[in-house]
Amino acid sequence: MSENAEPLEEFDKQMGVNIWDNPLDLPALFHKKPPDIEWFIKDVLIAGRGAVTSGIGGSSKSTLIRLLAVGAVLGRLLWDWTVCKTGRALLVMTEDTADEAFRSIYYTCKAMGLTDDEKRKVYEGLKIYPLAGEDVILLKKSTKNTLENSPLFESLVKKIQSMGDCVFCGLDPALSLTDGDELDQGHQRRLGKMCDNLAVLTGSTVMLVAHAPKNSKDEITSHNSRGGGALVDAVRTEFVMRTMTPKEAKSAKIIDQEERQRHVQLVAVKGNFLPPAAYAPVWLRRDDYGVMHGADVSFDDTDMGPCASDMEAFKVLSEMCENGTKPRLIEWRKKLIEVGIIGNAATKTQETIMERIKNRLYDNGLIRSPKRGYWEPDPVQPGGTHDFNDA
Amino acid sequence: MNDYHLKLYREKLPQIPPAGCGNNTHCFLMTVANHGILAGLSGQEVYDDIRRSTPRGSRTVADKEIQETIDNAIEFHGNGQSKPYKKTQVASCIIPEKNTFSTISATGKYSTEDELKAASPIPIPDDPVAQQRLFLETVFLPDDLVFSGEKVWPGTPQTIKPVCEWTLSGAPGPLISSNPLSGLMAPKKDGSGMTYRGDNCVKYFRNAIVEFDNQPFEDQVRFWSAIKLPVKALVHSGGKSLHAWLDVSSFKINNIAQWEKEIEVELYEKRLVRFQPDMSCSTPAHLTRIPGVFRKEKDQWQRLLWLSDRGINV
Repeated sequence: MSENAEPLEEFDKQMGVNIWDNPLDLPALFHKKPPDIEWFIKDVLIAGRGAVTSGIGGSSKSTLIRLLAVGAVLGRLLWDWTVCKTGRALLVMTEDTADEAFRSIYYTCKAMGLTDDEKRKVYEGLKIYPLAGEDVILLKKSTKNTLENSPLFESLVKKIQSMGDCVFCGLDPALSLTDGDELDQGHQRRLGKMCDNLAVLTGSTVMLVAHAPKNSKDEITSHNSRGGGALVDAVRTEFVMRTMTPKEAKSAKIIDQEERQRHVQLVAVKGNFLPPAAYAPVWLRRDDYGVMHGADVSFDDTDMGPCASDMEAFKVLSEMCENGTKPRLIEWRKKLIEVGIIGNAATKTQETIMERIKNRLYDNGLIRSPKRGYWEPDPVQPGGTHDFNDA
Repeated sequence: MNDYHLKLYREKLPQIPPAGCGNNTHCFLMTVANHGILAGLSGQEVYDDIRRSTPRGSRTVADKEIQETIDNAIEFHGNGQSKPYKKTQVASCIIPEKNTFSTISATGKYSTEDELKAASPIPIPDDPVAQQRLFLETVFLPDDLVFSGEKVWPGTPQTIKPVCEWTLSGAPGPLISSNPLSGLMAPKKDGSGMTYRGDNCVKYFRNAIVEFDNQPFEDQVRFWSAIKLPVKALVHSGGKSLHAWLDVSSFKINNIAQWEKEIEVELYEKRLVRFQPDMSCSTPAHLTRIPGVFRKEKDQWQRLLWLSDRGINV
């Protein structure tokens, strides 16, 4: 510190007290490559930033954050999202009692078919705070009517920091965490900022659950949460969850009412840095425990027949059967992965792709199953041929 | 009974924060006591309520502290007329929230005692007695009058001596006043009498003490080797904390009012509070641990780890 300098000038500069003194040092970065984005969920959810999930009641928002928390601990999910960052997770469930929270985790593990080791990992890696009946205010209203971080927020930051490897934090629901007014844009923005601040300060991905208005449209757009939409301005990513409409069920040839209710759509509607593919809706199906799995629904009205890659897969099957053996589906899938027809992805995704290929070939009469789990080309009928170029 | 103050009193009582780590419990106690007395409650009632409602923190709130707070409230408001209390308004922290003790210490150059000693601009001797002598000669001037002794010892000619005498005889410790004293008697800050070693007795305002005793020692070393503050010395308490002697001579402080403005408000309340230091160290006559004294209860020496003849970044 030079003698004539203001005593705390150097310290203030280091701390960024005057933000205008600290622009990004672009000249120093001239020859450098920016670091890759650190993902919590590959191409979907950025690590260490805030996100909001909104949806009407009963659309499984709480289940989503519970599954993401379990996914953070185990490193996998029940649909084709890839968990990139694993560690511990923390859930603040302000509407759950201890029994409800225990039940939900117990059945989540059961529905996921976890081994004892995996279950132990979940039970030890997940911190759940069932806080029904308690006031859990992270943003308190000051005498000047501004919202300030409460001591509870500060202690939550410390708690997450002390965990050391907490990669995901779920807060459910948003409205119970603030003294603010849902219709006040300033208050809502502060709430979103609190969520993002919590993420930045702790390095965890923080997801805030918000309620959506009941008249949610079929075509989902950003700023879908109920009340002041500014909530979403302050976070990096917004997801919307909704149940399947009767029209969609009809298109997906789901005629059973209960089956329709089991399906929910999860869609990213805002995402800084997300690739376009991330905005494609994901259909999930709720099992008997309410746990969501990737759903195999198709909205194609017309049957286009097998595509080129289906026919490639058929060709592979034909070659595998040339010496008279009949491969099992798993062997066929492994071969398709080996030759690159099924790309590198989560096992669950690869299984889904295999299932679709098999179904299309079967629906078009190209393959048959001589016994359960085994497949072979359907013998060509007299006068017919398998033309690999007609797809 | 004043309903307005009674309502506020009842609202504030359960909000008393745990003492220690910059929670400003003492100020909060004053607020509660003021409302209680203004509401018309007796001192005993207010005392009982506050004692019952004060949560356990890293610092123990002594009965005496509560009693003195209530006495002040009675003195100010007992006749029913309001007087503004000097420090109800605590300055807001200006350090952005992204800077935390962890984020700063993560960028520290050193993490061990040996690394700190090796990096010291003035080589640190191994002998504790030599450490104390070197420390006194570097941090103070030979004529500076400083107190050394136990916390409860009063200021007397036996406990307040020029530094040149302490370097010859050795300061008994375990504590030393962080700034030179005038040697004159002055009123205690709380008005409860006179003293020779209180804040009003400080002659030169050159050093400020900062410590983070709620952090792991390694992180404290990292923090001090990362932060850009003018450090003159780093002393191991012989327990679990590292005490930093900041060189605040460039603030050009001449009196207690300037100290409160520059150190207690500008340095502590507006900046360091973000990192949750021990706020009780912010006074000019703070008694802190001197190197070269063996701390029996911890079975460790209080030792000098880093020393510079002027305030620089570690």
